Amino acid sequence: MIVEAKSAAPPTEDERRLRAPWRSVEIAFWVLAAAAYLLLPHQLPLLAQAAIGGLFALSVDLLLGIAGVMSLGHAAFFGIGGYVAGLLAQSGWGEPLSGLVAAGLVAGGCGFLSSFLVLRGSDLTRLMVTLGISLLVMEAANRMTWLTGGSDGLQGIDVWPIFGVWEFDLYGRTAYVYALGVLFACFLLVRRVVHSPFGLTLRGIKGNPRRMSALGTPVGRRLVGVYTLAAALAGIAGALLTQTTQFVSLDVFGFDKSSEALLAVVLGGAGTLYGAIVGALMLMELETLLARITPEYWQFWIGIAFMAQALYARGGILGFTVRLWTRLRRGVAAPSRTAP
Amino acid sequence: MTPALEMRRLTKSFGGLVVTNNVSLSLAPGERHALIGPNGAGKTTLVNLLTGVLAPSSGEILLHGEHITEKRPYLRARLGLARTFQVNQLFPLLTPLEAVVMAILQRRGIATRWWSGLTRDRAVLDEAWALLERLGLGDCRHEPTRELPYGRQRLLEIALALALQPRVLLLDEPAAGVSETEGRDLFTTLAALPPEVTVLLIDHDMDLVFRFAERITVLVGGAVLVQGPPQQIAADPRVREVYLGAESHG
Repeated sequence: MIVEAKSAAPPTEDERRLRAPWRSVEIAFWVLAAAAYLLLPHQLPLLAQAAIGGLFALSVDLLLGIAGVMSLGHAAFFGIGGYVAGLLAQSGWGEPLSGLVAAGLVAGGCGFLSSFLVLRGSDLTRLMVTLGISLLVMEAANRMTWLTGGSDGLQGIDVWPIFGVWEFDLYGRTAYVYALGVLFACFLLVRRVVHSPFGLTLRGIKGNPRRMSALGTPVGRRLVGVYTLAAALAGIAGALLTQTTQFVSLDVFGFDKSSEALLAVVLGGAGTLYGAIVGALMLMELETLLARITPEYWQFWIGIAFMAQALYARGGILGFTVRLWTRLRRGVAAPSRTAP
Repeated sequence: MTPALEMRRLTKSFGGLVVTNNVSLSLAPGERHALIGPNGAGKTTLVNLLTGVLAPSSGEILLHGEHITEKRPYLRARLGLARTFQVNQLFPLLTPLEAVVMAILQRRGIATRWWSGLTRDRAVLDEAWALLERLGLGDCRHEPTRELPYGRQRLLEIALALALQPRVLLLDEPAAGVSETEGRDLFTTLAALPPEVTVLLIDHDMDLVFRFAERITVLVGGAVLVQGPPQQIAADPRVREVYLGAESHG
């Protein structure tokens, strides 16, 4: 470069903050997740489901927490991915990794096409349109019995061993390692994207779309990009579910699926990526626990838990923990209300 | 010489209400021009027409001789037309550093990169830092924008526009709501703008306008009342009447 050496260089502090280096808490999180394989051998099928739910919630967080796009129908892409993987395996191609790729591509393609409908209009319009699309997709799958098996679900899914070596077992060992590995790979991608120039413009769009277009950003095009990526990730999550359970039914398109992922993101802390994963795990544990204690009223207590979180732990579990941690580290100074 | 910014017979009406009436205005490159007028004169509408938020009913807008009348707002920004907002349009959760880096990345055309980190181009960081220092925002560049004092936010509003290295800069009431001391900082910043940048200042702070502008256009009822150098405007009886009249009404 022929540029003159600048007399004033920005402090390395700027570089460090913008680069977003891995923190020890993050490394601990993934080590712990891997250690669960040894520590909780009887929980592995459940944990595999949590990892899948975590990946799905992560895709919702990318959309909602980072780019600020509300969706009530993200399960459409989860379901499409699930059926793509299921149909491939059913028709004789049970290789799991290529199944994931195919599911991601198809779901991403559907996301790309529907993004032009979704991204016009305000938040409320988006809620309605995303919900509408997921209902359409579900009904279409219901009608196409010859392809999807209709309400019976897809039968006869035979998934081959991973890399031709590791077979899926009854104890969920392979399933957990597989789901966690895919979650981690997707997480790396999302983390990369969030801390890239593209990711920064997404956060800018969430903060102030009007200013972004005044800065020369084609807001619509950026949102098409992130919507496509989020749809592809949701598709991969759906494919994981099909492959690890060797079954897929119309439930994968359901409104419950979409709203649960949304709740996981809000519960865990939107825009933090880890919040989505922790939220999905917590939600699952909470449901299992409450269902055991009060089989009849567990949804009542879930409702209470959400209200408590919304009122007293804004920023989700992660936000709450971070605030608690900083307060403890500062020593118990005079308790002051943090500005929202 | 091709004007930096030119409006030709620009008109905007909402139904029967004409808010911009046949406005023609031409700014030479590097000119410091001010647009004043009482409330309801159509100043903000004119800014919205220039930036493409609103489409004119008739008339044309040219930026360095290029027709931009039909262009979308983001494309006008890319052609070098930057603006600040009367009411802060900032990014509450981003730090000034992040926001300015974002604007610079956008200007350099590398804001779509999703595979590399934010620090890959050292030049972007250098530029962001130099700009923030120049505007006196260096020491608060790591604080979330929403926690900054209002005066600092006003400066960041200008910093974001400057990060685009605009050829034409629209300043929509930059001093709105700032205290006297903050206003002085702000004026210093405005006075130090690069001379090649063409500036259209929209304001009703007479003190600021008369110190800053080389030419002034007075807008009343959506139409140009008078145009000329500050001394002429100050002496013009029609302008006095408009302003005194407006003041006596409230």
